[in-house]
Amino acid sequence: MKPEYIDWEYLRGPLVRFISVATVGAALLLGSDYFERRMEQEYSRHSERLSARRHRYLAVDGEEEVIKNYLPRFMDLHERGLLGGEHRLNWVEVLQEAGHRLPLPSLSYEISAQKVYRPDFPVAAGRFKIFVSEMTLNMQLLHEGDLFAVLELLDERAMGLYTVSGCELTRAFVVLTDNPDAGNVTATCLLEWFSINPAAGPEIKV
Amino acid sequence: MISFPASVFDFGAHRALLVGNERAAVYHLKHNTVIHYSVFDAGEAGRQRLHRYLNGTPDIPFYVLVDLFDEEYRQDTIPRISGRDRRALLKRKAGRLFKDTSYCYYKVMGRETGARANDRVLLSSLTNPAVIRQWLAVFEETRTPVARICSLPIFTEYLLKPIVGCCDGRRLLVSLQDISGLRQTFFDNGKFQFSRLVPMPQRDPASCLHVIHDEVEKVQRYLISQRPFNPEEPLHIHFILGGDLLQDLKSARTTEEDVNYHFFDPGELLETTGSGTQTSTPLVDLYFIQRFLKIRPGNYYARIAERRYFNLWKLRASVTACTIFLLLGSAGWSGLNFLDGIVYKREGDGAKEQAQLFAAKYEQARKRHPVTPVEAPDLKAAVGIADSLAHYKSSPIDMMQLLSRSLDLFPSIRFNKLTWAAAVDPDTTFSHTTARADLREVLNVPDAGAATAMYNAVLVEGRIEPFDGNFREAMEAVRQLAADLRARETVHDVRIVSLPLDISSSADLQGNMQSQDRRAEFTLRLVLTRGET
Repeated sequence: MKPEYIDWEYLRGPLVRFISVATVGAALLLGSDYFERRMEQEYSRHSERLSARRHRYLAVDGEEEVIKNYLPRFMDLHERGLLGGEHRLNWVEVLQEAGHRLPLPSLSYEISAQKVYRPDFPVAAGRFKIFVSEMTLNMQLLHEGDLFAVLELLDERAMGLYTVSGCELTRAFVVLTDNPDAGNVTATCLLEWFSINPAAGPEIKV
Repeated sequence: MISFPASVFDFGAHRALLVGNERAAVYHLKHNTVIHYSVFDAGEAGRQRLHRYLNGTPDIPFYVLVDLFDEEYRQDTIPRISGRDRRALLKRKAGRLFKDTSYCYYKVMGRETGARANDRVLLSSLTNPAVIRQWLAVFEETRTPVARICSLPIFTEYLLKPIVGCCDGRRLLVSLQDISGLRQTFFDNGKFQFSRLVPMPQRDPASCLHVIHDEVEKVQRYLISQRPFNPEEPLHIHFILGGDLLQDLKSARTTEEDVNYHFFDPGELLETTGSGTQTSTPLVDLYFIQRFLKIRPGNYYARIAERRYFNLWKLRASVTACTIFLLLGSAGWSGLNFLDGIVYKREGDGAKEQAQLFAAKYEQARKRHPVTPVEAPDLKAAVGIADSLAHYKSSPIDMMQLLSRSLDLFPSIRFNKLTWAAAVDPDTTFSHTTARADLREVLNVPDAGAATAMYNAVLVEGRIEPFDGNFREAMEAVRQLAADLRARETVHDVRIVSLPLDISSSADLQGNMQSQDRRAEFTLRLVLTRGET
């Protein structure tokens, strides 16, 4: 049909009705769709919560067993400093003690800022995160055994858990000396101190 | 509030305008029954009445049927062409034949026999356009849709078979219309040939009968002049007349050898159509209109401009239908959405209540447990993490003890430097002297299947002390140390990186036998496997 044959006045009523209905229809559809989605989300949320709570209730006897088995160890780990905050002061004190007790010609340390540790070995972390602080130890040793002694003292006295990721020992003299102020072996070791805390929320408090 | 025009929902309602030279009649039928009938005289008063009628009635399209004296018919032949060419040719031909009018119609009647086999065409025209235009102007003013304009005599071609029962032979249909007069239409083998309309000045049966006799005689004479009748091919004359006139005709006309007379009552014909309207007049108008609205043949004369409101009406109807569909669809769909939402809400509320119930039961049961700093599953997880970290804890002590045990067997071998790392790669090159954090990784050991392992790797830089210059013995001592280490249980790999003397053919070698500063240094690379899970 040619444009000059179109009488817009004649078509106005149906077109206005169509546009009105389309607008109202679209609003109805959008509104009802929004309502349905929201109710569905709410239902899913309640449903998941119900499932979790039902499961938790059914597992309450198992929980008792878990608490019985793991609470003592958990408390022990907390007392040993692995769970909860770091104990840097304790580490420094233990290192100072090592320096005096052995004695070592020199011992210096450097501890970097704590960061999240991403283990490469399989760990079921659950709602926890592992944090790590790197400690670099530079020592002058009379002999290699002093390194073992330092590490044993850290194992014994320091709060927390560490791992040695690298070590370098260099003999300083061809012939060993008995001078306690001059080390025969220079050692540089990198230690990683771990702590475990909830991924979200405050540190573990007992 | 949204309301829709009544015509949209007025299913089964049709309107027709039967146009004669002096008058026009409006028929409003619903479900085959006339619900309104009005006659409008030609002239200003009639048009104004029609204007008022159209303004006050629903927007139902009109089908216009013309029965005019001023309609001409021509038969012609055209070459066998089709499509746009044929339309153009017929248009030109109609333009030449019928001047001063744009109301022309043409249709192909058949094909000639013979070598050329041209198409036979019928061309017709309303030669006095003013007659129809006066009514169409009213329709335009009132925006009344005109669906089509058809010619009554040409349309009767559709009625021949329903009325007579067959279409063959030469047949003359004689009918009397109130709107126009006496109409005689001739068909040859069912094809329209020509038609003749004469006014009926008198309405009394005697006068009518006389006129009918005269006019039928005239047409008969004309037909005989064209082609004489014979018993093998008689002329059939079909009178469609009712009332006393039909009886008078029946008694006056007797079947002859070459002319057969047939009589039909319009009332009876109307009954066969299932119409709810009764008629007892001799007039055929209503029957024709009823059949016309039922068959609704294609448009003959209406031009695009005159049909524009019909096209717009269809567009309006389509838009209205879409609107209704949209309204119902959106209402239905949103209703379903809403119902689904209600169902979800009810189920969600039920789940919420149950969850609260289980939570209360859990808290009740939990009271007999000791207080824990974290939830029970987290206790287990925390202990598990600690176990994993402890399991993978590494220390150089094992490596150094193993090395010490071997070195005790070779007192002439001393170390200068040990570089140890918890290594990811058993082939680590120790490019950095300080241990690197990225070496603390776990990898799949090829010979250990799916198990993971961590390596302790150490680079031993040592010397033979004291060295008397015997490189052979020095090299043998290093090899024996390597062999001893290799034999130990946890050793993964031992490689001699460099011997006291590089005797490979690819290396440059030089020395001074008189020099006192002779050293036999070597480098050994040792890798231990540990931490299998």
